[in-house]
Amino acid sequence: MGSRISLLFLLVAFCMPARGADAGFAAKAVDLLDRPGSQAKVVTKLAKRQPVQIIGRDGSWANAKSANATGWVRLADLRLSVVATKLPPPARPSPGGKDTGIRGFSEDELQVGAPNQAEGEKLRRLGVTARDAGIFARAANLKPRQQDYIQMREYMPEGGFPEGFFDE
Amino acid sequence: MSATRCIIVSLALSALVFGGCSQQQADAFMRNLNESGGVKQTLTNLREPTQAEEIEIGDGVAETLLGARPLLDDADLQRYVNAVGVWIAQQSERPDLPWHFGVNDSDHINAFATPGGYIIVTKGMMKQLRNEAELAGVLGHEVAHVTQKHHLKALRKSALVNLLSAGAAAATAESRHAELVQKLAGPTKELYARGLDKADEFEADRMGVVLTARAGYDPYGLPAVLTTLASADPKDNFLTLLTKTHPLPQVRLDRLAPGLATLDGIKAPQNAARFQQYTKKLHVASR
Repeated sequence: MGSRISLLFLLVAFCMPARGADAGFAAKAVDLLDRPGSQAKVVTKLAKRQPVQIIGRDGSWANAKSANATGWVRLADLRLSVVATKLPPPARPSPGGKDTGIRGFSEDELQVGAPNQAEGEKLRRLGVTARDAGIFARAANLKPRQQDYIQMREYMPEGGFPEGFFDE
Repeated sequence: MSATRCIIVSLALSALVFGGCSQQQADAFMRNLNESGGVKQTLTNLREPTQAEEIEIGDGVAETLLGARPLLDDADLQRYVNAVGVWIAQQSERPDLPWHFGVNDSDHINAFATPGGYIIVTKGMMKQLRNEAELAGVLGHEVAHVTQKHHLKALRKSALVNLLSAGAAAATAESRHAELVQKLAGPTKELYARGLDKADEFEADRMGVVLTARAGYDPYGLPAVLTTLASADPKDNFLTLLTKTHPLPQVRLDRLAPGLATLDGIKAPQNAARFQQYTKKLHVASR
């Protein structure tokens, strides 16, 4: 579980806006490459738990600096040494009552709530046409791209799947 | 049909429906079969709903969920989320569904989809997002639930949808709709309290990042949201429901991380400025 949490914080770091280098370490013995991708050349080898500074991200690759070399390694093969700051919870407290499991509502709200046709009609009126959505996207310089869905066979990590991966 | 033949056909049907499912689910199916009028009615339930029927079921599910919490009164934000959502949905395999996106007035952190193309994000979730790529990631996950018909299949799998014939004798379209909504309320609450199968959630994550990428956004939006959720205390009152009905965010991320390698090399915008412009009021209102 500890390694999972570290991986999370690693991803947090890379999903956040750019900031200073983060201290991390290799989760296992792994090659440090001269560029992202499987065709890259090996700069050096990182030993398991070898410390690195994580100085950037390119897709799922991290730019990592060890004591004597700089290169690229997959995010999944690194862990952060420090624990990220916990994000603040929403400002207002719960309206009360215990939670039931219906997502986004409390049990009280669920039990007393009767179907609301007027709100349903309101939601239906909110629709935006595909044309208008396209104009809105292009206004923000969004360019659609061809991208295949991720297949499970592409999931195979180096060294195989961890124990329990397929326990659903 | 003789009683013996009826039992044989029933067992065969249960094997078809519940191949790979637990004994408990199979028992529940058989109980439902007996209570719902037997094989003939069950065959009706096994029929694939048409798209029109799926949309009609979605109307009812959405109205039930909106009965628990209404929409947030912020027309600009609602239009914005619709514009982003419809753009994401256009990248899916079902662009022609009547997609509707809304933000409800709930502080709980969540988002959910219904059959037929309704997607509701909570105000609490919107407040945790930092840019449009993250919103796109959340909406992409929910759009995938719709395109894969996860909720529709879950309703049918539980033999809860005795719905396709609902209101057949009703005098008007309005009374037919009212009967359908009434019949749906219980199964809807049961399904959304229980949550989908974990495999459906993992699939929606895998598809959500790709839909985000297809729409031209940084595909790391959804992983970023999952890391936000994973950083919060899972015992937080606003998150207990999410954690009860979903795999833990860190587990979802662990599943997703190797697959993200297929999105390497994509340089795409996050649109933080536009997102903050439309969500500014949310943060002002909470002070």
